[in-house]
Amino acid sequence: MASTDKSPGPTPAKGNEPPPGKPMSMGQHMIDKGAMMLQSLKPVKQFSQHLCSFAIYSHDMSRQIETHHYCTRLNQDFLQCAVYDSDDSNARLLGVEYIISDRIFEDLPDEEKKLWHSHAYEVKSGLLISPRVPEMVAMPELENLAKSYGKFWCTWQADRGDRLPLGAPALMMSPQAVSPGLARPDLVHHRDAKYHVDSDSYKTSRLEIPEPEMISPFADYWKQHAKGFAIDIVDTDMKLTAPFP
Amino acid sequence: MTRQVEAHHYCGHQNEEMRQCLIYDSPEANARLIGLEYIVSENLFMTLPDEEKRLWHSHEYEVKSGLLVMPGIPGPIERRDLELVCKTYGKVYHFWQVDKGDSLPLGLPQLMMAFTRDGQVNNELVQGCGKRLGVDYEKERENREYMRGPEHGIHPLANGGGKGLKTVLREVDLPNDQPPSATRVFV
Repeated sequence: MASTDKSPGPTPAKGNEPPPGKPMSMGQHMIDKGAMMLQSLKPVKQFSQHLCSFAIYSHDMSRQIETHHYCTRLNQDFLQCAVYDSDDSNARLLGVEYIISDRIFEDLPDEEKKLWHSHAYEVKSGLLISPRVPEMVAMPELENLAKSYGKFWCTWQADRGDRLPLGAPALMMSPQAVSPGLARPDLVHHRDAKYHVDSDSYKTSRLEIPEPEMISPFADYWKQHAKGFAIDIVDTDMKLTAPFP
Repeated sequence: MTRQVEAHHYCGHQNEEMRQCLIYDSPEANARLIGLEYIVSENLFMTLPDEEKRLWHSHEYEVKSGLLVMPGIPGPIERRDLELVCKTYGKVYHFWQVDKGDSLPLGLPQLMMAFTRDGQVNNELVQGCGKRLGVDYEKERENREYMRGPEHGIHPLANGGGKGLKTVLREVDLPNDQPPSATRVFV
């Protein structure tokens, strides 16, 4: 049925333009404004950071994307992030990433570890930035992130031209120091130009950041096993308590 | 169907016909981000390839039964939005199975479905929610009786086409020209 690595069937909704659909009506704007005033919206007001980096499709590591993470820290060991394709108000919601400390990661079963990736290289190579935040201010969080692991499901493969979110979720991996994990220079240059930064220069300022003593061989699974992951959505018997649908 | 969760959606519009939502397990500041939903109009749904349609669910029952509420919004305004939502289709993935007691988001994404008729929803879940949010579901059902679902009726392929769907992990060989390089660079 649907699979991460199968191109979706013919659909008019292909291309780089924004999603198809009529522009927002005045009525809808009014409803939204009203809701924003009346509702507490607490969970989404907890975003405390914006991080910009790059991610790689685990089933096809030639495909890399620029990511914008909006993160909420639930506790010292855990961040939950909504991931978008830009920092604009019309950004597409690409998926969700969870970030955990190495302490928590070590306790995961091996089968679960395979779905996670390490962040040390991404941070220390300067690929991961906190846009518009001075390095000194960002440093404590960068130190945290360098020792963390992430699990990132991408549900909208906009980079392959999907104007609507099609198919099964894709497991994403992080840039690493070896091919095919090396970040594409053109993507990095494009990002750097946008934010007036030079990722390369961060390598020096981040040299001293400690990383995990040992990164589990199950994390960044492709490095030791030359394999990626895809998700298939298949038929199954639904346990019923009433007729469906 | 035995596994059901209360879900709090925080939605934004890409345009009049498409919304994207973050799903949390509560409306509190310490809520866990458990998944996401995309919502499209009937028109956009019809443009989807057939096998894609099965991954999407209809919203008509959820809205008309009163199960779906917009906390804090006065009824008349709420109903203006719900009239539209009633005709839409949604695609939901959950990544954190909090109902299983998972303290971390373990395992694979789960494709979620919506309620489509009376008798499916766990009553305890509903009563609990109703009390907390101050919702009178019977009253809401009456207020929303006038609403209409999709113009062309609920598409037969939606809601899994009536079958269950599950996600399965598959290992994929990375292409030969992409082996991990033998020379490792230590950062």
